[in-house]
Amino acid sequence: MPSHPEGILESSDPTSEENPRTQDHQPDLQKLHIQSSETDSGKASQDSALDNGHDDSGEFVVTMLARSKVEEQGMGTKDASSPLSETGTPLGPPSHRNEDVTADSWRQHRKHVFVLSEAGKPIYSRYGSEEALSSTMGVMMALVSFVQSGDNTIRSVYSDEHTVVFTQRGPLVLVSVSSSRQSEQQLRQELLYVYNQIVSMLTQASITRIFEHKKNYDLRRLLAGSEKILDGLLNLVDSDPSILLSAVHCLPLASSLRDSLSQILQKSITPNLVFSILIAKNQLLTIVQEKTVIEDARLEPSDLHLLLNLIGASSAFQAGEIWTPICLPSFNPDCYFYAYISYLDPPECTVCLVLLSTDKEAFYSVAECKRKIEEAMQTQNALNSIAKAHLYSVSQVGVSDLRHFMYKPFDVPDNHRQLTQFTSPEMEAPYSSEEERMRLLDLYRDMHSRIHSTSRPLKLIYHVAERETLLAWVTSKFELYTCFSPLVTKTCAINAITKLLRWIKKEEDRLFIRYPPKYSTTPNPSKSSKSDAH
Amino acid sequence: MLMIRPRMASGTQEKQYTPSLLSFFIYNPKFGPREGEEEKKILFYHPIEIEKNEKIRNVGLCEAIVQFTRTFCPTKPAKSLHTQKNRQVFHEPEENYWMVMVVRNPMVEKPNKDGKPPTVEYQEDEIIDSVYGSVLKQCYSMYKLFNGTFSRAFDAGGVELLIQKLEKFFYRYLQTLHLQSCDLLDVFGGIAFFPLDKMTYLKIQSFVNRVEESLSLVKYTAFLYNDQLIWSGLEQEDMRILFKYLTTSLFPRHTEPELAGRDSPLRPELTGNLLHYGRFLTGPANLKDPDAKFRFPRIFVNTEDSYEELHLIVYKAMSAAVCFMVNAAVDLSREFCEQLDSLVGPQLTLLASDICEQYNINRRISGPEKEPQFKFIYFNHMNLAEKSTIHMRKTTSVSLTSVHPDLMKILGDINCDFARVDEDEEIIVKAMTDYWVVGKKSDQRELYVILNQKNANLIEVNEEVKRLCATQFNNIFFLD
Amino acid sequence: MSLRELKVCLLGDTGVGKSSIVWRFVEDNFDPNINPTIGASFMSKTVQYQNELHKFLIWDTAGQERFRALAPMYYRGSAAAIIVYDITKEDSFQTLKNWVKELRQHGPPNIVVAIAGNKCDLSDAREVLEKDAKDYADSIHAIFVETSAKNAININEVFIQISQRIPVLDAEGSSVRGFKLRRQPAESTRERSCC
Repeated sequence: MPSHPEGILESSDPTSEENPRTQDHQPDLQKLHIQSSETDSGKASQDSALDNGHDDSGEFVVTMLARSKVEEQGMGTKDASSPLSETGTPLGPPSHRNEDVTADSWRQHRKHVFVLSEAGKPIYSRYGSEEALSSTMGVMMALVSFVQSGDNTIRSVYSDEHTVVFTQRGPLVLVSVSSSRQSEQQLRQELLYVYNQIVSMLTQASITRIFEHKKNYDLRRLLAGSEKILDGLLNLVDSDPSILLSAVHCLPLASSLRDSLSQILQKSITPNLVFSILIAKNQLLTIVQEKTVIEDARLEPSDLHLLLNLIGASSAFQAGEIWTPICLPSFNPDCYFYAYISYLDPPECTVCLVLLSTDKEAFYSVAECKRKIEEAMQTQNALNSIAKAHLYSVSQVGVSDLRHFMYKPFDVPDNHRQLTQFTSPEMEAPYSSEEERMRLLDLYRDMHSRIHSTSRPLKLIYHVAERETLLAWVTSKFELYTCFSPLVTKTCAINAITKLLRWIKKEEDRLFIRYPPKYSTTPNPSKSSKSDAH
Repeated sequence: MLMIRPRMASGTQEKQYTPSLLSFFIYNPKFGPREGEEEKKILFYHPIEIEKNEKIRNVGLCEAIVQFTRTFCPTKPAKSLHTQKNRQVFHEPEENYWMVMVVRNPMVEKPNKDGKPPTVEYQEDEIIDSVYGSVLKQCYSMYKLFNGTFSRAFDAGGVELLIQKLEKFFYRYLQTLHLQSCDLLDVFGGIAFFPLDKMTYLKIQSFVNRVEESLSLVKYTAFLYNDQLIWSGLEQEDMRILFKYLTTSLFPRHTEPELAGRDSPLRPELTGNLLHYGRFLTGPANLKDPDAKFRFPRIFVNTEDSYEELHLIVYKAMSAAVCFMVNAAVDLSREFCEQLDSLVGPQLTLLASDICEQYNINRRISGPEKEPQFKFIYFNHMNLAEKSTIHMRKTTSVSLTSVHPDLMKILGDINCDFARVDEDEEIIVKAMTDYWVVGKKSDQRELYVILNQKNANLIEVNEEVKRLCATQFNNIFFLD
Repeated sequence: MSLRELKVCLLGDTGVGKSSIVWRFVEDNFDPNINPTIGASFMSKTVQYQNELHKFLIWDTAGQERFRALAPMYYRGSAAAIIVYDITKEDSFQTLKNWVKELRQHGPPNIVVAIAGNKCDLSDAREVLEKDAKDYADSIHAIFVETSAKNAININEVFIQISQRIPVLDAEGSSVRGFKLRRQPAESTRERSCC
């Protein structure tokens, strides 16, 4: 049903313009270019071209790479920083883009993420400009293709300080260099998110087509202006457990209020509208969906995370009403939805309405839905009630020693169609500082990786550490992570969990969207539009 | 029906392959810095029959990986490379000397019908880096024990001598690596200590003192019983690798003849008389043999400072074994060996039977052994003391454990978690098989317990481990 | 007083200041760290022009290449297009010429074109001569002004000049009438073929 991205890329013919790259000063990259241009030069079989390239020069390239990196380091900052000053934009906010990639401060970032094309062309770097890092990314691509030439796949590299994870998705190679001590599995999942965020902007079909057309294409042309969205995603990944748990965090709300909001959305519809989503403070208030669309597919938490990030990462949405194509990769990686995005409470901009349509031309009719929603909400004074909604404190559970928890239920009604959710109280003292919050999240991440290990999964972990005691527990009904004060006894912890589970049961209507409402935008269930999509 | 048949067929013929050594190489990038000279970097490469360019490529990849990680932290380069098919572990024991071990991931081979080649699934997460990293470090330590450092060999005889030494040592040594049975004990590389009452311990100490006094050539002594250490004059790190050599290589080679009864005492005239059961495990097999050679293995200790080269004399009487270490500059004569034999032989025989008696008394006191509900591994980082009821036997050929390999890997995981922080910690986990695994770390000591009480809850498990700590470890682990 | 709805779209390279111009016009505000527009942003402002009220329905489009093909959706049915370039970036002036070409070929026949040379406060870094731009604008009968959204120079002027150029409302008046809220699907698919 969502439309195919045909038109989007036609005007950006990849061959139309040879985007001149900054002059490469490292011999390794020149070598790499020779290699990639060989593979480009239209040999009948691309595969054999690749193989040939490696057989002759693969070994040489790698040793060259190793050597030139040494030289580069020996040269110090003088030489390597020059491309920075030449290409760095003089205007704009201070950004990680302009960092000196030879400085210690650059090396000390907790997590680097790089995206490059198979030809070794930089697409994105979280810190430092892609130009300054082109040789580093060239090395990454050389490692990937070198291992590939041995009929094998590179997965990761470990040092005492870093975990480097490589992953390839279609024509894109994504690399995470992390000192966070997260598991490879988690880092790989994060890279998949980065890939999907790129797909959400371009669609997978376009990316594939572009690189089929021209292996050397500089994808940054199409991603210009989206760096912030990827930056925002990576900050979210580090600071928000939603992505770790693959679940959506709802803002706690009296079920009566949530129901009436849902009803407002349910009533304000127009043909081809498929999802109406209400967000407050970057958390979900409610989501209603068109019946027929979700019959065979559902909105995955990951798609919603990408959407929330897109909105949260850019203040551009705070101005006026936005109409933009967006692809939801888990729903369908090759098609666009058209998103209407508008804040309902300017200038505070905390309550945001997102309406997703499959019709590119539906802006005015969808904007009309917003008007109706706005009116209805005004009548009910809903904005005021929403403004009062906030996260809860763990003290409300009434269990001493319990400092924090994350609870993800599996026993929701209509489970297979339900959006996976989790609930979690605010992080309070001693986890109020940025640093301590990150530390607690890291502890949760550790337990998550052990409990969900691919080869050795566990049912329960009880971890007594110096500054806290943690318990992680997975059953068929829920997944639970709890954090206690360090001196809690095992008996106390077990009792606390019994109490906590009882409390959640009691509060579940407030904490979760129990029955996501549905609507039908077409009087006759649109069998025809369905067949259009396939 | 059609669907079921092939699945059953493949199910029955699935083949499981354990991890195995794919290659092992040692290189120094400084030895062939120029293009076209890459081969000169390679000092050792196993398997030897690999084609030259292939060797150069594989070494080149390691260099590139190491350099690449230096971009992000110049002082902490790569330790391992994970690929779909194998795991490569890197170790730089001496500056610019790199050792690399490539281990093939365990895999499952599933046959396909219609004569198609079988599908191979690599189990990429089964290998624990810390275990194989330790095995690689052990390879170096073992080499160094018998050959000294790489750079000493290079200084003495250039690349040629170094290559010769490496080939001579590793050709044999690599065959003794059994990668499928490596586990947490390899990470600890600990020393099993023989539990002993004070009186017997003092007897042993005075024995050592007496011998060192009479045989002034003896620089260091180590005393073992039942493959467990009682007394050592060596530095801990040197003793650790010597202990490994003795218990996994030298002793097992001699126990088999003993068990087969072919090993009669050296002095048949004294058979039946518990006076002299002593014999040399290194050096002359038979002192009476006029052609006997008085050559002992040489070992290198204190390589960090005084760099001593020593003769290693291992002398054994019944279950007691003593290592005497003598400066390698001294030529050991027949006279010396005879003197040692006549002095040590009777005393050691007597000591061995004393220890044995004492040991049996202690066992009787502690009551008949019944199969406990738990198995454990204990390790103390301060004195390298190690104790395991999980491993039934550890020899050159195989390490037999009494628990499922997955549980052993969970122990490895917990150990990795402990290694991250210096603080005291406790981790209790319940595996998918409902086994409980408990790890405790307190003041440089680590204890791992596996409990086979599937229906127990967390509190009962805790009580059980508490009891164990009280009886076996004097309540060292007092958390909670 | 009669109210006329005038659909105006802003086109031009990324970073030339389209959103800043709209922001200055609608809110009389300026944010030096404004984020790149995603898709297109829709805003409106009503101003009095002679004895009419002109309600500008403004489509502020994203300048990035990936949104390029969406542009027809926004300029279709527009009474006017403001094509913006950055006087400190020669490239952005070249892009402008491409936009003019595209409007010629696919845009509404009577669309009023305004060319805005933005960032005129940065004349030290000027790369496009005012005269060159003016000559070009004259050659295509377009409105031309140099603007500064930052210093609020000539922003309202652009819109005033557009109001001036819009043909007087006659009986038909369809060419400049407010955009229909609902388009017929058939019509839209037909028009789509151009991109």
